[in-house]
Amino acid sequence: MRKTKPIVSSSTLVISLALCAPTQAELWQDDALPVVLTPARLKQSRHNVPASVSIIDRHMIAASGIRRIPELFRLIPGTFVGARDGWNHVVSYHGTNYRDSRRMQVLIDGRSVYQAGLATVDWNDIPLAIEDIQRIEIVRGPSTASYGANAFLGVINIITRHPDDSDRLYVKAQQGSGSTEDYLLSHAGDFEGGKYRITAVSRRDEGFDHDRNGADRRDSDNSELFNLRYERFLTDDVGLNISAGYKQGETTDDFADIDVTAPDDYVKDYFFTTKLAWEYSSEHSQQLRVDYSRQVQRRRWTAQLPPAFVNQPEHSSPLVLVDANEDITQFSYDVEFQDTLVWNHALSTVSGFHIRNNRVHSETYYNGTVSSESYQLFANAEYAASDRITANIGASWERDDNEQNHLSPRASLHFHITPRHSLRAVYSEAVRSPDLFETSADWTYTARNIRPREEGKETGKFILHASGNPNLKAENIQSREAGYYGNFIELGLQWDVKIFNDKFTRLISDPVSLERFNPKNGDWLKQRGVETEIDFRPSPQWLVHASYSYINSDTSSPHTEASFTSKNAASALISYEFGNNIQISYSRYYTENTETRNRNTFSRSDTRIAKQFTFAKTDIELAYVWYYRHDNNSELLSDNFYNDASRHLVSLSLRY
Amino acid sequence: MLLSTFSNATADDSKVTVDIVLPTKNSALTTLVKKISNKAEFNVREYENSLPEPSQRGDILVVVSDHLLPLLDNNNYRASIALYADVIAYRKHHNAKSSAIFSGQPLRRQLELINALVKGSAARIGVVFMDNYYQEELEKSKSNFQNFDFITAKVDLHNAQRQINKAIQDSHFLLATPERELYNAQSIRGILLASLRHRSPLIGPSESFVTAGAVASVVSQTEHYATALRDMIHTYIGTDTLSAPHYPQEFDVKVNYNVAESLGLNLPGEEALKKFMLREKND
Repeated sequence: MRKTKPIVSSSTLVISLALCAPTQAELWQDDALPVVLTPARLKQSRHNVPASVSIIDRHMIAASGIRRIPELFRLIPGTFVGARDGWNHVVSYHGTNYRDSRRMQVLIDGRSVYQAGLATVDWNDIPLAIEDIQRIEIVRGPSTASYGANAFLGVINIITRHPDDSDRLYVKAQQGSGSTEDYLLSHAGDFEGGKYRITAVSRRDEGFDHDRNGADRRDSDNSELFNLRYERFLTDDVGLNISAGYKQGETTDDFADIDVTAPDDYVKDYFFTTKLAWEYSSEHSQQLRVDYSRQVQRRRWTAQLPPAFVNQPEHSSPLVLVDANEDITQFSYDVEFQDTLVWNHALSTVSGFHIRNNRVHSETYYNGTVSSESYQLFANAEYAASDRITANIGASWERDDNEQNHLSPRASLHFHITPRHSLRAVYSEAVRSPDLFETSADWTYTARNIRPREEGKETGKFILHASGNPNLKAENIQSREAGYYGNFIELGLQWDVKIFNDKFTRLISDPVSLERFNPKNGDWLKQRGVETEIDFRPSPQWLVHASYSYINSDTSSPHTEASFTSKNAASALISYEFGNNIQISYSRYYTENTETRNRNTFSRSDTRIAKQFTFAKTDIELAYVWYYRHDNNSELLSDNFYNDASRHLVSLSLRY
Repeated sequence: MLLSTFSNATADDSKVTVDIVLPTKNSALTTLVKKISNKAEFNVREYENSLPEPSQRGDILVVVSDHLLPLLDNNNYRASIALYADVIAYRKHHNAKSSAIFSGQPLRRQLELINALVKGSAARIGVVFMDNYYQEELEKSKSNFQNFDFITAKVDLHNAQRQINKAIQDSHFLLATPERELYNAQSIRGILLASLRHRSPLIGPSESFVTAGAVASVVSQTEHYATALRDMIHTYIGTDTLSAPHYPQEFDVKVNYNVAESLGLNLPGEEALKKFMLREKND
């Protein structure tokens, strides 16, 4: 094991071994430095990654003027973003079914935020401020072989700012259209030999303005969140990471016809993660992480309906008031172990195991408590056959709660035309195991406190009931991809092209609703197309990022599996930093109508102007963002309209 | 303590005598002294850590390392030379009869290396320093690198790490100064991990940093220092004038190709980079 010797500040020379031709380092004192960036710690070059990868970095996040994390993914080719409500977004690579983000794996610093209990990623409940994001890596393509079962269409890996990189004090306030009002306070410092960053955020807005009939929407968000990250080296070779987060908030929801009081949500989320990483040698490292998360959602309201609807047909009143709830409590824990070994210059491997346990309690959705466990083994090997050819081969084996075994292989071949230009061919298979909601739902409403009160008729069960299907099989995808990645370093240009042919089988397509809940492995989908992405930064002042995708879908269930996939979509972000610390950015997003739905083109321009100046060792930024919607379509669903084509946001931030 | 005497054969009383004082005794330094004295037109006597008695002193004193810089003061030698001395540390001991061959590399040469890495294209360079000397050195060099823009920060020790990290985040390359208060065994881990996180390569300050995880550095090897010292002594013997303090003229380029590849840089060979630097300089 390597040991680091303390260095003496002045030029006291160390005793060197006898060498015929001593190097400078051997001769002088600074050979006591530790080797920090060891082969085992270094990342795989993008030229050798067995998938298409996109990056959203801090500069892009700032320049985009985007306020909510999911909207950032409009910048990524082939990635579709929709809003079910003002606060409730859906993100999916290659779209498919718009209902939920159940086919994407989303990680925050390696921790999955997928909620098995409701089969979704709830972007609004992630205790993370967009300002704390360092970069986002999007793996565009099936990645079950590396990331487990929900990495079916791809992986979004959000990497937060390291405490070392954070400002000692950061304060931000912003206000904008729709009663948008956000406040952020962040502090970074030292504690017990390590570094920490702690962030608190208050966030609120009123969501969309009106529905298709012109009636006011109730989809406001009022949240507070807290996030902590702590990093410390316990020894030269052992690093400790602790992360924790807490979020509480209230979101409002529209009244249904039968609702008497507001069916609003009160949510409390928290998570805790700890990771230990250690090196045996410069070529061999391991890490172990444990994640725990819990989400408590309280949604209670009063409805008015005929008593027969709650199985009380003998009730004397034609209409009764009942109390209903959609309360749900979800827990999950994950344990993951990973081993990275560089065998020699040509061969390196990553392998490990992952155990996940989900438990969910809900009277309404599960009539009690259900749980699931899954076990995964994974391995990937990278082999450089020559300077021209690199191969990756990997697989994951997973055993789910239904005792089904899944093997998801992936293989890729890279041909390096030159060291900076490479062609790739990737074949992968992946599965998405049916989640708890699909297999184990026992969904109906319990009506309590039925009134007018009559003896023995205080409670009842809603007459509609939905059950999960315990015999569901995993969804399957076979993906074939050919691509080119070029890094024109002299021009500051990176260019990626991907041609793909994906075949999905055993899809569980039916919408998750009480009226029509019939999960089955009945559908198939074929997607073929091309997508490209350009990142052009000819000088430090310029940032240009553009993407385009063309996707042709053929499916047995067009109204579900093609409902969130547009044939043509494009985005562009252009930013320039003037010498007087003024930055002007313009971004343009366009998503064509999906074939099965009408008037859902999304076309928007965002313009951001920011001015920075320094006062008393404090960097101050004043920014204005103008969001202009070119069409007047509803966003994703049919009741998501703003009153005005233009929306505005003004922010002031101070960094010390 | 006289360790040994070097000359072509035996000491020649007609030749100038150079007393070299080493901070310690090891074979690497012995090799250095041999390279200095090989076929030299002067006698070389080697001492450890202290000057010889006044009656035993030769004509020219050479002290090796910052540790021995105080020996330059009031020593009665005709001329004194500090070899492998930090440019900042040497300033306090400079006098009319002394000169130096500096350790480290001039920032301009490291900038030439970055220019070779990016083949003349635009880049933003972060430079964090404690001593204004580096600000001045940078200002003198800026006009030669119109394709670069610079983010500079003068720091003190209490905020150094955070300022270095900020420079890493805001620039394409972090150019390390030879200041050991900033770049040392305690700080290098945080700096290099930040460099990896932000894919902003560290350049310099020395070969050891390249081994630790910096992408590249210009380095001067033992023979380069020996050559520079011999040239300075010969010039003095011939003209009775000491050259101005300077860095070794000769250098090599060291690259950590593993780190470069991981950061997305596909770099040419070290010799090719050196040739590019020399060609650009001559143009």
